[in-house]
Amino acid sequence: MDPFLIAVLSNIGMISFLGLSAYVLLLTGGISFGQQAFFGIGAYAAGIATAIWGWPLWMGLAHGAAVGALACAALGAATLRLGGLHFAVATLAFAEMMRLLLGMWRWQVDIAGRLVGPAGTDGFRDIRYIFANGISEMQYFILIWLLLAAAVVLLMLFERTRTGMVWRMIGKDAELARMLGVDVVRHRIAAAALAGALAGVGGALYAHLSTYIEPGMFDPMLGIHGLAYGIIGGLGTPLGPLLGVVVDIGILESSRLFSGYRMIVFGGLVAVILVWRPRGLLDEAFVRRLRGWRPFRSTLEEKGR
Amino acid sequence: MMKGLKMATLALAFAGPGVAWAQVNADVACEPVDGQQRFVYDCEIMLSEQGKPLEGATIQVGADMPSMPMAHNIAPVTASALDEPGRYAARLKLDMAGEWALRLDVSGPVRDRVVEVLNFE
Repeated sequence: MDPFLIAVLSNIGMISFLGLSAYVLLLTGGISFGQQAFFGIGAYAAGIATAIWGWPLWMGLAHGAAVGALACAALGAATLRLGGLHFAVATLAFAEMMRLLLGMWRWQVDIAGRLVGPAGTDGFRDIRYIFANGISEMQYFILIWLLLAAAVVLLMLFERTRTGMVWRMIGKDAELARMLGVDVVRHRIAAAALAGALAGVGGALYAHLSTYIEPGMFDPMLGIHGLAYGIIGGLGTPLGPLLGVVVDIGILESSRLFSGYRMIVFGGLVAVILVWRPRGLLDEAFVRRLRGWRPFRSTLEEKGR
Repeated sequence: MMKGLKMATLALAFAGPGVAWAQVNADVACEPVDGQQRFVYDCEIMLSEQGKPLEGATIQVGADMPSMPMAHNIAPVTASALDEPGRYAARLKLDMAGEWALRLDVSGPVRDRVVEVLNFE
């Protein structure tokens, strides 16, 4: 396969984790402009684990996910009383605070004569695990998509569980859910933890493929993209954010159709879809219609018997 | 496909801890090309390994913007070797001015990825 195609598909896979992260929060009614912070936290945590502590890759990825989950759950707990615009602004403020803190953070360790670790705004270089261990771009691309496929399938299965339905209920009307006896606080913190873990895994994968990360990468532009993927792709299924990423990176960016004007086109596309289909292309109504389509319906009916 | 999948799974499951090793260093300088359309640059790359010029390497030079990671990158071009050992040249066509992270994918005598962040006016 062409190396540039592998790179583009790897990018689509990694940024999809950010889209999924924003999607999980949107399910429970949280509009976050700050998921890039957890993507960055996951990237730094995983990079430190493999490049400084010498952990194997799978432990580095798990570490990125765990630290991302903890950080996002903590933010979720701190902003529980906030809703709508206030929550969105709080997440953005947190993300900017994290970006500035990472820009000030210097912690470098001498490893075989080289200083390795976060160096403030100069970034974190030499996260070279995949090159040191002979993992090819193709193998890493397969790893990214295996993890993404696992995340999407697990999310789809989760949404069919009682808890998954409760999360959608909270997203529709948190007050009503509370009146029906749902522990909204607990569910929102759990959703935040899951969202943080997803963003953390994406960041961890990105840090190892790029070998270099810097705080400037995790600015609001990245978070807005993550949110926009859910809005474009739709909130009816976890495949929605993936569709959003494919539209942006797979079509607009890779085709070079609009060259440097892509961001303007992308912004316009988001605005049009918000007016035309406020809950995205694969919204709940579309997914319901799809499930009612004869082949799906007959399968469900057979299961019902 | 299945072979690659199995190898990726094995690499994830059993790869040992990351190790430091002799890695490639790069110095990159880029200048705008006169008389060309905007945002076209000639870049000279000096590669070294353990303090010695790295010869006989194949370098793919790609670029993406740190302010838009994963969402804005250009297709890589192959750098050509110059007469001086360890020195290579590549012409890049960027989309816009600003900070770009040049991604040098080195193969041949060694395999490595070096990222250099440069500001293009």
